[in-house]
Amino acid sequence: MGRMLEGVDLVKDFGRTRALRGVTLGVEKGEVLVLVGPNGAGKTTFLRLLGGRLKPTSGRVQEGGREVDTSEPAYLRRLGFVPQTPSFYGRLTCRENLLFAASLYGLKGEARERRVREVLDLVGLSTYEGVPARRLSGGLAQRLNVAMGLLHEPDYLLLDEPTAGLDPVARRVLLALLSRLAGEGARGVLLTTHVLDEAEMLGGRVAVLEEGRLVGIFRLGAGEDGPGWEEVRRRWEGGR
Amino acid sequence: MRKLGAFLAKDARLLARHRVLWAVLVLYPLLAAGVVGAAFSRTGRPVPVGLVNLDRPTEEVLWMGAKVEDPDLAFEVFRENAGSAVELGDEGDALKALEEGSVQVALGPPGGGGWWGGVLDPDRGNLFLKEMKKALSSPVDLEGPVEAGEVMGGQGTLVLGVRGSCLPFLGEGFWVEGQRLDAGALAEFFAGGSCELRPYPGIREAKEALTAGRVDAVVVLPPGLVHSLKALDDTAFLRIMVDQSNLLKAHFAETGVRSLLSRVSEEAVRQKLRAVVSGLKVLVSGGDFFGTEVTGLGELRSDLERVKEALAGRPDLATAVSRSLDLADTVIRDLDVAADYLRGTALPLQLQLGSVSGRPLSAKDAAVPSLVVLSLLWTGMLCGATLVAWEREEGMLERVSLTGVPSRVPIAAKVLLSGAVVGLLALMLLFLSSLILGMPVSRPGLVFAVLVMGSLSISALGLVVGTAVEEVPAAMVAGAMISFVLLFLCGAVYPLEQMPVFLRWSARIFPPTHVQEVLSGVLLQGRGWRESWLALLATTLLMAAFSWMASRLWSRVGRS
Repeated sequence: MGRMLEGVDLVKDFGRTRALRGVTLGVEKGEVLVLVGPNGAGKTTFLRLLGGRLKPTSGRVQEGGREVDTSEPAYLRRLGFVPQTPSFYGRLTCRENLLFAASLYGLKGEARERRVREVLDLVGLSTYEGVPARRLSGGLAQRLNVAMGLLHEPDYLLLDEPTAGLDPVARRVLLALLSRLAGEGARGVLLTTHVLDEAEMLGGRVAVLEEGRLVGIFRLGAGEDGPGWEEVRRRWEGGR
Repeated sequence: MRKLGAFLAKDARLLARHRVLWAVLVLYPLLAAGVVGAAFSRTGRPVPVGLVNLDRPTEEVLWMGAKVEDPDLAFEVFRENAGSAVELGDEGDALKALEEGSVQVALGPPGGGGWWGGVLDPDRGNLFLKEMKKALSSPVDLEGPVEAGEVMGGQGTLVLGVRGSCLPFLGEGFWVEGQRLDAGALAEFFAGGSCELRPYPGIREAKEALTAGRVDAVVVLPPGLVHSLKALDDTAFLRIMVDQSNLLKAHFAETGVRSLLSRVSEEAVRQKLRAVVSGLKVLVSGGDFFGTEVTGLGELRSDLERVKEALAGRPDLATAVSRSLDLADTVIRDLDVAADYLRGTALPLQLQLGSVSGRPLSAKDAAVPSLVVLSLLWTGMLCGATLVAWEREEGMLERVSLTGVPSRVPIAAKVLLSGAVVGLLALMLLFLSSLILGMPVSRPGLVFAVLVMGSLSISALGLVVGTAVEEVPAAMVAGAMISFVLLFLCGAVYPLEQMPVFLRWSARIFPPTHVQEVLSGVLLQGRGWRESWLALLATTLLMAAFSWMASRLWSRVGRS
């Protein structure tokens, strides 16, 4: 069933600053939705609203057309949230980090071991499973970061600028992995970035946020990008 | 329980793999305890005390001063007792006159005019000094008029200078155990183990040594000290100066000096009462009664017996003599009883210092509970704060919150783990104290209970601190800062009873105060469960309160 996780008319104020101005946007299972926008556009805020990390000033979050309480543990368990900065214990090995996280999701015994092995394979970290996480390179660390969010087989994976700080090769590998995750796992992948090239590399739907407003949704690589996308690119490149 | 176990195992692994943290949390308290313990191991050594003996034959001028309510009365007494008194002018004139020997005594205000001098007959020196001490009420020995101005100020202060040559009793001896001791030797004799006396020629030199830290206190033995000790109607006033730059040092110095002087005083009282008893016996036996040859009551009674025999033919007179004989018998008996009474009550107080724990305690023993509490405080605060800050630093607090695991689970795991580390360290310290210092640990069950609850509650407090910071170094700093304040507030270093009321009450909301109370109560005061249960309950409630608070803060941080 292709259910959609959707923010509807989301508004978020931080004091006097309005970070989001009525954004309606959703991600469907099996697709990669790239949310692009310059710094301060409201990408992370939107992601955190969907991920239950923030409460909206107004608007709602819907799943399959039904409003959800984003603080509900059952809802949170259907999400895999991958923060921008890799989050794991540097002094534990990759495997120990994943085993611990799996325990928190209630996995135990052989099932836990199996799932950890699967995820290590999935993100390509099997050969690094015994390496302390703090010794991983940036790209590998980001893969472990993604793996931590995948352990419980979430329906939706929310990634906040996962490629930030990565070299081009590591970036390409990670994006390929995300593309595969959406396809193989039939899960919705929503990631934010401020690099238009990454959006083009991933293809699929791209939503553009500027100053808290959704300025357009484009389907790249399917002949639907058209002049609107070119205009976004020109505007961004001109502003650089 | 499984999730609690996962947190416990993970945190234990993290701690075990962080060598620097181990050093800070475990090695440092052990080292600190070793250093503090070693520092305390020498307490009880004699206090270095400077001794200035002014009770020695001298030709110099001896000075004393006092603040007086009625200077005119003091001058009046001076003029009455100083022989031919003369007006001298100002302080300079007085000093010159004393130096030239035109006067032997002089009285006046420091730095001012209106000084009087006198040519004192040496035979009257004793009486003069006694009267002037009364008039000046508790005068203090000084190095000169200038010091009087510095120490007492000018207003109402009078300074008395007396040439040593007109004080014949200077250097008088006091007989103790067959030895004739002058004032200095007397102090040395009774210094015992409490003071290590270092003689100085004058007050100035002794003050310099005190300022330089070479001695912790200075005792000035006044002119005529031994004379006062022997006289039945005189009191000696001793000037004591204590280095108060360190409260503990000042306390040790004061205790040492008091101990020395009380032994001297005790011997003087003993000898004075012995003299009174001897005098009472002389009243019966006849002989030298404080310098006067008296006929004893016994001899008078014998005379009366003979008179009574002579009056055998006069029964009326014989009866009257019999009454006198009865009276003499009664007086002789009463004198005997009085002598016995004085002998028996010469020193009605005999101190036997001991502790309620039933065994003699030393400063080393007293340091043990404080050291254990200090280690609990340091390691508990830092370990608790670090374990939470770690989660934030690694970005894991948010990730853990997303798993839907209630915040009480990680908090409980961290309280337990930190409590275990802290508790084991405290037990190790206690074991080492017992091994090295030979301190027996009474009521081990109660000690164990308070260490467990103390470790858990202080760790919980550390967790609360940890939720306020984002990085481990900040947690360390915050933990150390709070430990430092609580160190003083818990009564481990400075007695709680000496603090203002609001601080005493504030201290009660922190676990170390209760832990210190129970530990020192059990180890040093012989307390048991009955006297300790309330503090133990308070520690438990504080643990619950701080854990709850940490849990709430964890949730709040996880949501933000």
